Amino acid sequence: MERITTAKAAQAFIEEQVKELRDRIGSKKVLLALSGGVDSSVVAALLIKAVGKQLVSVHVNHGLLRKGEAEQVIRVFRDELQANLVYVDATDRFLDKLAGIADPEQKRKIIGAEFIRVFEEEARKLEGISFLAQGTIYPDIVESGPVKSHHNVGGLPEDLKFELIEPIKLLYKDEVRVVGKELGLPDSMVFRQPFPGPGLGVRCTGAITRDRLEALRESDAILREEFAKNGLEGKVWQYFTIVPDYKSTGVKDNKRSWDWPVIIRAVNTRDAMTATIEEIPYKLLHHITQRIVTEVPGVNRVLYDLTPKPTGTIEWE
Amino acid sequence: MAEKIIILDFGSQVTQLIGRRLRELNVYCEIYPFNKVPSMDGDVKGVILSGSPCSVRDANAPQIDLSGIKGKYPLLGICYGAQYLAHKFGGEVEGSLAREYGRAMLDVKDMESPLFKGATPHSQVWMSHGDTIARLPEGGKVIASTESVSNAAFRIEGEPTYAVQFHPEVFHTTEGSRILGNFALGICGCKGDWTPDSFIETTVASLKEQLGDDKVILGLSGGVDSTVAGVLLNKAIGHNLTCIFVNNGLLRKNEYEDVLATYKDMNLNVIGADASSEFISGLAGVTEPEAKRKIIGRLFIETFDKYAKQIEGARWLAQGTIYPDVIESAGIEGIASKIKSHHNVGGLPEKMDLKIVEPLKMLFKDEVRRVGRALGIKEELVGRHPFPGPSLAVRILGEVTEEKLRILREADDIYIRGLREYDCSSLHIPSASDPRIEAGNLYDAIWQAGVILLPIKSVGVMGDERTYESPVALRAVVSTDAMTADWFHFPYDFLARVSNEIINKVKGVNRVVYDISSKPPATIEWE
Repeated sequence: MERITTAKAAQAFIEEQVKELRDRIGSKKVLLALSGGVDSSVVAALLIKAVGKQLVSVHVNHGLLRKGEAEQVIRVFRDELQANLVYVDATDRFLDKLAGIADPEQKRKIIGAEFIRVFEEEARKLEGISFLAQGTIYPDIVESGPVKSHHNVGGLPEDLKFELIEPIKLLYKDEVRVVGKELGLPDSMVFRQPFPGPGLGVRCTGAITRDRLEALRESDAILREEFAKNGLEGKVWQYFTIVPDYKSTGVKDNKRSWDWPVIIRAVNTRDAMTATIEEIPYKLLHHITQRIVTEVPGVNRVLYDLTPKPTGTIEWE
Repeated sequence: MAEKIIILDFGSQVTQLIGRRLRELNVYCEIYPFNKVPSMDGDVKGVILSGSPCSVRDANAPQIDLSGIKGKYPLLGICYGAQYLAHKFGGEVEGSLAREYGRAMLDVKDMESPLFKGATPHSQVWMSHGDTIARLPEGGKVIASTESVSNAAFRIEGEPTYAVQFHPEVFHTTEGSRILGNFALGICGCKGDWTPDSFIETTVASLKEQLGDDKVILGLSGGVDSTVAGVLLNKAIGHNLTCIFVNNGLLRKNEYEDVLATYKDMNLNVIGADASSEFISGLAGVTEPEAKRKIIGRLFIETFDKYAKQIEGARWLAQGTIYPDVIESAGIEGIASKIKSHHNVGGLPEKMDLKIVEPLKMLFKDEVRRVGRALGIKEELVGRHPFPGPSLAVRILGEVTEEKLRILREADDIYIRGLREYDCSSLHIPSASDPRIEAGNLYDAIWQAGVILLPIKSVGVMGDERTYESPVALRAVVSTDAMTADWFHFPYDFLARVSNEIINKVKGVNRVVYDISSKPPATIEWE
């Protein structure tokens, strides 16, 4: 199959998929878990083009999204694409379940399980759903074989029987992006960095607290803003901040402060199996540090992660 | 006492730099608060008035009686000092519309003025003022201007009084050292013979006289100050000096053994006081930073006491106090008269009825190093970075254990060795201990460096296995006074090399981060 690298090829793919989806779905209803990432967003946009409001998109905000992310999903899909969007703010539910849980594996499990539960509850409220759409892409199939569905909704109970729709399962990531752009999705969504399923949960290391999560969200937003302003967006593969669960001494207004550090991670990789750190210009690092320590409450120190993968992983948990 | 310049401090943050610049010119000087003017004896060759955070127009602006000084001694007013001379002697100072901070270009109007002898007619100066001198005092003549400040420097006719609005003492004033030199060596007529050798000669003589045949105790820490104090005293009184070097079990890898051996090689009469196990067991289970510090402080005094008591007939306790520890600062609200008891060894002086001797108390840090070099002390001791009293305990966040100490010592050893081995002569970075020379290796370019062990774990991969181990943080700062500090801009290849070596060689570490925070709001050490 010819790879989709041009707008023309993307247009052809979209037309072909829209026709196929219409033929297959008819007047039935489709359900989709919309995370706001590029894969699920492209699937949503394709289905909206094909069957309009027959697609019900559910966006679960687990409280671990980056700054402005849920708002963007609502703006793009509900306001601009007139989608049938169910927005569930489950922040409290997730954060209450995660309170006091420090073990990374346990945190991941709780987030995963709770996500399915919330999605399942929403699915049960809806009537007459026949299909479940997923943003599976080709590397997911290659990695995990044809059976295992990579995305979060894999664990739905048996009695919820849907037929799977995976319209982009033969595409690579870069092809998905070309299609997304052609579908009119904003660049910030199409070229969004990879973001783990548990979201900021794995970057607020140890037991998550709301104030530290807020420091994480704000520092991450500053980092992304400064990378965008300084031409590093799109150049650096993945960059984010981490706020670990410990404090150190500092001085603020001539007084001793006792606050968290923020750790900056910025890496480049070809295949996510190995990664090297980005050599960020020191002038920019100074500026970012300055902004973080002055604008983010509870932070008095900034660190830059020097560790390549291996031996460090890209994420900390 | 030899000839000297008196610096009167009105509370500027950079007053100490005036002193250091003069000392670099081999001119001896002393700093006093503006309201504690010393007696003007025959050794005084000139007076400098410093800058201030205050405005001369404020009701509570610092005041000084200059009747015994102005016109009688060469006088140089800097910033506030210049404005004070204008304000008090018939000129006028106004709040300026535009506050002037930072670089400006100075245009010398009177190249004949002895203050600018040999200086270039156009040079960069550093400004930091809100007020401006609108009218010169009686007899005032402009000798230099900038674009926005016409009275940037003036003299008073018929007397050796000069004033500059800019700060000649800061690095960014490119002709600053020359201007201060012209004042001290030219206008004041100082000979410039205050050198490390002359200091050693006079200090050894006066220590001999002061101490006679008395016995003296000194605590050695391995740091520059106590080492130089020890060698000076040894030169003066030989084995009447007994040094005690406490091993708190929290020192760097091999530090206790190596430094103790070096001291013995230097013919110092030194007792090794190994109390490692007391310190380690005393710290077990303690996580709170202040509590850790207190325990270490208490155990240090107990250990030192125990050994000091065995020295019969001791009359003196020597301390490595240096000048910045004793300078009284003229704070904005007046005088903070409390003198820091920086190297104070608990209540020992009272208990054992010891008198205090502080041979370095008139020296700045860089002078201590110069004296140390002149005394022939090895560079690895003289050029040492400052190291906190509680040692590695403040670099292990949370509880201190033997295992954590092992990890930190290994990582620290790789880092410090890496700094010493990295040739940075091609980078042309000034040396941290003497900005007039270039650093040959990264260690010399840095004020203070260390590794911090973080109290968390993170995921990693080694081989095909998942690891869950501790991260360490590298810290390296440049500073002139430790009050403010900037993180050091390492070549990225150095960071890559060192972090790689630490992760590969130190069991228990799978991640390395670099601290990119300045002080303030962060501190140099973490606890």
